[in-house]
Amino acid sequence: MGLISKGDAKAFELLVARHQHAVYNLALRFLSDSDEAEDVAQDCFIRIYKAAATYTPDAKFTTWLYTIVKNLCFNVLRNRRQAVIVSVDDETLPELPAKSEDPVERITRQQVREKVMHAVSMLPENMRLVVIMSKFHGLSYDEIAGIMGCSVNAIKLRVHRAKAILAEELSDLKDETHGN
Amino acid sequence: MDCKDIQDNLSAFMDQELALAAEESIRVHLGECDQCALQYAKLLKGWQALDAWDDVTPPDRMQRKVLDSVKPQRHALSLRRVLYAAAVLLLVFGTAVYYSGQKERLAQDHLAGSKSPVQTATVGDISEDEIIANLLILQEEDFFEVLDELVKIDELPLAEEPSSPTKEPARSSLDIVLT
Repeated sequence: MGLISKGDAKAFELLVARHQHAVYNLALRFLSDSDEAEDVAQDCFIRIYKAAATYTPDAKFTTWLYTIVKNLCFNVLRNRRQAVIVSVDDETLPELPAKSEDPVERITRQQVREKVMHAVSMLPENMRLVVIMSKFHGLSYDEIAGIMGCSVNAIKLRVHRAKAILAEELSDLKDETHGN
Repeated sequence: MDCKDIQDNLSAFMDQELALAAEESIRVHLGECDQCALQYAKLLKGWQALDAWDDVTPPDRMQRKVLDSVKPQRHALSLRRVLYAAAVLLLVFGTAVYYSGQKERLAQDHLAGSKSPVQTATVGDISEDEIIANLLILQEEDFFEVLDELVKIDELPLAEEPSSPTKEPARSSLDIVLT
């Protein structure tokens, strides 16, 4: 960050390259909209660039980074509500399947994926974000509490409730399709 | 622990967040109670199903857009630095020109005015007379007058005091200067 505040373009480029995947995927899973996720990711890095001079490493960089993403995502949701636009769920295109993958397996996997996405999108916003950060980004409850601005116990409770909801929503999945 | 306690702690059990004793007690219970075991399997299945939601590679254009959008600011930053450097150079150059002019003028005045046979001591290129003449210029400056005025000020008005009906607040010399 020190280098970025001195206008080091290479350092900023490296930072973007290192974190863009996580930032984009967090926004994408939370917002279920690839264009909005892209906008959030871009805005996030621009804000980091602008704030580089005033950045003080009080907490982990990723905590700061995810807090920015969280705030931007909630801004998007707020704008959506104000615009009263029925969003078209244009969730990103699926990853291209590996050539060796069996077509039936691929379709089944795609179906499971859609079901999972739907189940997660049904969770309340705060719960959804906590689940995404915990499950997909491997953040600790401590870190998530710092990002969400609430206690660790509140985070645990949200995860606990989310697991119960997801268990109900996804209970009809075939056994062989879950997990990696 | 009864079934309710067990089920309340299944999430923490999954996360391996419980103390060893509690963890062991749940493990034993799950081996004996079909209902709780079923509930645990359901939770585990739902949570593990999320793994099917793969990461997506961000579009290539995203990074390019980010870097492009901060480029003008980078130019602005370097432009600001150039302006600072130019200002400093201008200041240095202006000062040098001013003093070389002064030096020339003083030399001319000295030659025209004094025909003293006394040889003055020199330090480098600057003569003692020149230094004294410069001191005289300084003395002529308003600086010393302002300084004298400031020395006379006994109190500075820090904040507006509430007006007293009986006593008019004393005016400082700075007030007088300002009015």
